[in-house]
Amino acid sequence: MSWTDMTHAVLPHAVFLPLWVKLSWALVASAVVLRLTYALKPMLWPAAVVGVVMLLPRTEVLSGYLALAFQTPSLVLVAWALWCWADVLELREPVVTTPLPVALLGVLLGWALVVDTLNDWPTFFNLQLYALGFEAAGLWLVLALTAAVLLWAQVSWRWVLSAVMVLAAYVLLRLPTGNVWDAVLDPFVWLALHVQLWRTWRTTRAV
Amino acid sequence: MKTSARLGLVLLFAVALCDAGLRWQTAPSAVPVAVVPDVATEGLTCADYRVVHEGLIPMPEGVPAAHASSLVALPETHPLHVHKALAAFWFAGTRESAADVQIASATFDRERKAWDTPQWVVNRHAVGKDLGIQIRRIGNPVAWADARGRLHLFVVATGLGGWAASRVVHLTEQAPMQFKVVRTLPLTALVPALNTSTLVRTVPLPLSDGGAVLPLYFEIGIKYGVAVRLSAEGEMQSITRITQRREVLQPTLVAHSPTHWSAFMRDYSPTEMVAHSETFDAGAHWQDAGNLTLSNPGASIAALRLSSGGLMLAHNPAGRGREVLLLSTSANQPLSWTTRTLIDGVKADEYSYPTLIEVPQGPAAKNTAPDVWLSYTHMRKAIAFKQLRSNCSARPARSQP
Repeated sequence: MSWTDMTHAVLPHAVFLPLWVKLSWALVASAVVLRLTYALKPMLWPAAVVGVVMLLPRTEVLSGYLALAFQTPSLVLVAWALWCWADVLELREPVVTTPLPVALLGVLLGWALVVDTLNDWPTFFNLQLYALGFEAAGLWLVLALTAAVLLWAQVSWRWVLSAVMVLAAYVLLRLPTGNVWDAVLDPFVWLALHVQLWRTWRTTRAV
Repeated sequence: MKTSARLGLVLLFAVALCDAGLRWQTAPSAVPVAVVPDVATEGLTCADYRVVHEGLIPMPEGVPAAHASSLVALPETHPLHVHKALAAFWFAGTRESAADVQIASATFDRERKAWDTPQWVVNRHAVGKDLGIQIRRIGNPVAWADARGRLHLFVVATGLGGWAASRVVHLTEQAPMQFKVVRTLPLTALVPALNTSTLVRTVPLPLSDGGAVLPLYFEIGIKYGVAVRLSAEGEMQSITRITQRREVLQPTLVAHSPTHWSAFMRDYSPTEMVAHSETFDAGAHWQDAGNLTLSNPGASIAALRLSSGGLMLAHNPAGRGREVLLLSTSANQPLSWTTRTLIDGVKADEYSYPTLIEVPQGPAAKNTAPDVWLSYTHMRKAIAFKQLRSNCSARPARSQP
């Protein structure tokens, strides 16, 4: 085995992709409705209806328009949606489990991807960041950072389980695009991490 | 350390091992290089070509607009090869970006020496249905034949925001000239670009393993070229930016040697010169190489490495723009261009978006130099073609390093 064996992209099987678009957006949309409606009145049916309708045959138009704008959600967002449903079904209060270092790294990664997409690296530092996400090195970097967080930060068992499941699903299925950055970050997750950092900063300031 | 963290570390290690195993199973045998003609003396470049056949490719009935053609020589392993020499693909409809724009195709019949009746091969509704994604518009197609002779189409499809929010959809041939969607190529991050703003225009560079390098470009305010390596089956292997400039687009690739390639690009800056990037390690790393001595009015160009050894470039000149179509030739190295005028129109004429490929003169014509086929947009109303034949007789072999 040589290093070049590890640099090629492995994309998700084409058969999975339409199914993934439908299933992932159905999960995410129903979880959003669940969080919005459950806070007002504890009832499941509006979110369940949204999820079921989006999964019905010939209703691709709903997930299709979300995909038109946003392609697919990341695995992290899908994991959040699953936890939303699990919390409600097991009558638990929703909790924020993302460790602060992870939120910070996610925000920085997102901004680095902005710079990379705009081809705005300095001339002496022509980093091909998005391309790195297709290579084994990209995944190993994520694994190493996750391991470092496990070693040095206080994390909940839920976050450990989520991290392992997201990365295992990425390795086995290569969803959503074959690129590890797309598996861990999408516009919604990136925005949520910004909000988490801002809230933490405000709380720290208040104290 | 907590038990959950310890267990997490073990599982992360298992994930890493699993990834290594899966990648090793799918690893390419070696890093492929470009297919180049085996020319003994680079200086003896034949640049003497005459037009032997020209005209308009028939349009689908009742369709007033056409643009952005792509050509592909049908390889010997393609089911239509015996009767058809090449195929053309272009987008056509009421106008560019109209909702009714589809991808049209026509094949060139060897015996009749004429184009067949065109057919529609891709429409946005079928693409959207296969992907599970709504598609607003479709545009530029690019065709390529893989190692098995199966055709692939790469078609620009727009999301929210029009051309600046484009994606590239990959389709493969299921039956002769019938295409099915494979996927949207992942070319930019979901953050922040939502995998948009990437388009395709020019033909791929063939590789020694039967794969190819597909040139693409990012376009949303800033513009730059990228290259996607395709396997022999057409699966995306990697993506590389080919320039650090931010005002160049629509790269067209030529191989000077198996590992030394050039990308010539349309210039969107006030400089108005053809931009140039080079790689010396078969596409692993690219560096900007300034501009060619050829002007460019912000119009698409097409380059070709000729079997006779030299280079050919079809382009419009700055100053007069798309009303004039030029054909420049150069020795392989160093670059020194000689330009002739192919079409000299009047103001408001448009002869743009050229594509150049080589096509063997016939299935039995093994010892003659292949013809050069040029297609281009004719007044945005149709696609025109020219068949150019070399006046030099020798035919070098293609090397497979």
